[in-house]
Amino acid sequence: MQQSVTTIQGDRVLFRPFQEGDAEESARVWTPELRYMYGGSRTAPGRPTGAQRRRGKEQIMTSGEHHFAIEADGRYIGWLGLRVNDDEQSGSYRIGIENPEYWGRGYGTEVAGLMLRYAFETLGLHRVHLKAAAYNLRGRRCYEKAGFRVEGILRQSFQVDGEWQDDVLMAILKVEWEARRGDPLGRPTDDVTIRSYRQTDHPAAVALWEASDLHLGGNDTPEMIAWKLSTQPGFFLVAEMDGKIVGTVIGSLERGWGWVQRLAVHPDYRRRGIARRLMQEAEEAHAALGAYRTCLLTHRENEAAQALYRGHGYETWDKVIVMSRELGASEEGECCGD
Amino acid sequence: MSETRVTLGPITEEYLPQYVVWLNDPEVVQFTTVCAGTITSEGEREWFARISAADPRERHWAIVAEGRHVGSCALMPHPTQAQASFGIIIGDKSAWGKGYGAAALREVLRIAFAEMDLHRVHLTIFPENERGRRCYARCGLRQEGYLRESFCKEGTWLDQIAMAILREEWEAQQCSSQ
Repeated sequence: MQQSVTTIQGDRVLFRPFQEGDAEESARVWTPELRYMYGGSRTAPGRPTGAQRRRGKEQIMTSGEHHFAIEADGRYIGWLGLRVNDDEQSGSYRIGIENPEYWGRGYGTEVAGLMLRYAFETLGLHRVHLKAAAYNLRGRRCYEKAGFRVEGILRQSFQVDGEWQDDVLMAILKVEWEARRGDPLGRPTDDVTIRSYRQTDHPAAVALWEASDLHLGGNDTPEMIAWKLSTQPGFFLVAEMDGKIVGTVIGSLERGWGWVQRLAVHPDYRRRGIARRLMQEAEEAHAALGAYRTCLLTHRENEAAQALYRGHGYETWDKVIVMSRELGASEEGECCGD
Repeated sequence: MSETRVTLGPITEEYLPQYVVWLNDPEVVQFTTVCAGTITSEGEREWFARISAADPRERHWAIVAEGRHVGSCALMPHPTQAQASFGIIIGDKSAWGKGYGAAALREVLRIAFAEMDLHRVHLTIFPENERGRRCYARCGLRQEGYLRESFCKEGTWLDQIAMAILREEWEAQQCSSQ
């Protein structure tokens, strides 16, 4: 219906319209596992006929969404749909690699990558989201590899074989996709190196923090940083690009909790996944130090940072408030009667 | 503790002019997906015809507090799953801050779980809607997701928060409040 592009060629897959024989192939390769991944029974007897599969495909073709059959090695292996919402700027993605011979081999990731290029470049969408059964780990991994991030878990959203199951919501924004373009593994196209901090990086790190409006304090002197790194478990990573320090993250460990501080990316280098890389490296470094959780403090007004962390799976603890008292500073003397 | 009470009644045609006024008030629709200034009498009549003819499981109510019509709310069941989404608007600004929204939601949750036998009720809310979030949290809804730039209102992309309550959580609430 909405089809404006009829075929899209990838490295290994071809998107094309449905054609004669697809429904029969779809019925031939069908397994109960496929039904289960769509939230249906894993154990119920029976399998669909070619005619039933044909009706399924007709439903997709008349649903008003952009849709393609997926072909690999010259045969039908599945289909995908992208429904553009009423706002005409966001889309819902659904996919089925139906032939199990093509599972676990990166086909889903390639399909998602081609679909996203179509969604963002051809259709000009702002955002693409999807909903997956939480137990569909293979699917979730491939969406993540394609750049989708988990945005939420819908608890006990549907029932399968008598058990309540969760759904996962995932989404990717156009700006995030642009930052990853050209690299199916999700690294920024430009060359970023993440490495350990060296003493000579200090002026550049301070300049970066100032450019990022971070408040500097006594802990940020070269001496304090060197002392902390030599006496406490932790790490200080910098992101280097174009020969410059463009990002930082400092990590520490306290009773199994990893803390992240000084996560900053230079304003000129944002929106290309550097903060995401730094967070990933920090989490891995925390795990290597034995931490079971990564935590951070962020300013209430800094909504951009919060959105980044939430998109990365971080949750707000509403039950905790931060309390503090300034020590040894009574110069103002307001409370000391004399 | 005396609980605020509201009555949920059917939406009748007489209410429509009131909705046109409310939904065009920027203050009333600030935290909703509605754009003030876009609601016409014809549009409301079409909406009324649509909800009157919709899936009978879809429920729309007028909220009446102390004999006054103060707003409306709705429960939209999923076509195949035992869950529904909830939406509410308190249009009468003099009725704000009196707990009528929470009272209406409590009544809707009772209908959803005790009468319609649903398993979960969910909604989305804009993060800036602090009062709404507090109200929903008090009624037992929990945050389940944060949807980035998921709704475009008047040219601006807004984030949304997804919240939900499960039947078992609602049941536990009933026990503890007795």
